[in-house]
Amino acid sequence: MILARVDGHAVTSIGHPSLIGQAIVLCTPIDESGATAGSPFAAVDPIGAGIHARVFITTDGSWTQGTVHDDHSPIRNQIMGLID
Amino acid sequence: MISPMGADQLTGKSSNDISAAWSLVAFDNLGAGVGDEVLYVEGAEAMQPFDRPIPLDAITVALLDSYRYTPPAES
Repeated sequence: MILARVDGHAVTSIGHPSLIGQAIVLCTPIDESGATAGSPFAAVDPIGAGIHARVFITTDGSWTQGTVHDDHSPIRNQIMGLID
Repeated sequence: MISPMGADQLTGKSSNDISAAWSLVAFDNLGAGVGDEVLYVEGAEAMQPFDRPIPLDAITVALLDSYRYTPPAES
């Protein structure tokens, strides 16, 4: 799992079927002090994290396949929770 | 071939479409054209859509219609 900050979102209408209905956010990895620590990436957001929210993200595709109910989903990154 | 977009590409700060990150070769079943913005997945999950294991490292999973990326000013 990695720490990240939600810095934006993306909209798509053509993609893998398992992405249908999923909110896609653009995140920036952060370190323990909240400073940027890497290049941006996309993740699906099932919890509705707001802009600049600090979140933790799983990169475990097999876990995400369960939450999207699609064993053939290639999605990896998914927001698991907000950091208080 | 894909060039991963860095923060400077996402914010428009850099006019160079090719980021400093390593470009990669990806499988594409969506019909992405040159200059299109896509989401891609790298790693073992890239072969997940297929019925049998294939030697694949990266795959496009979505064509982007639009995006917004606004990191806070202090970063």
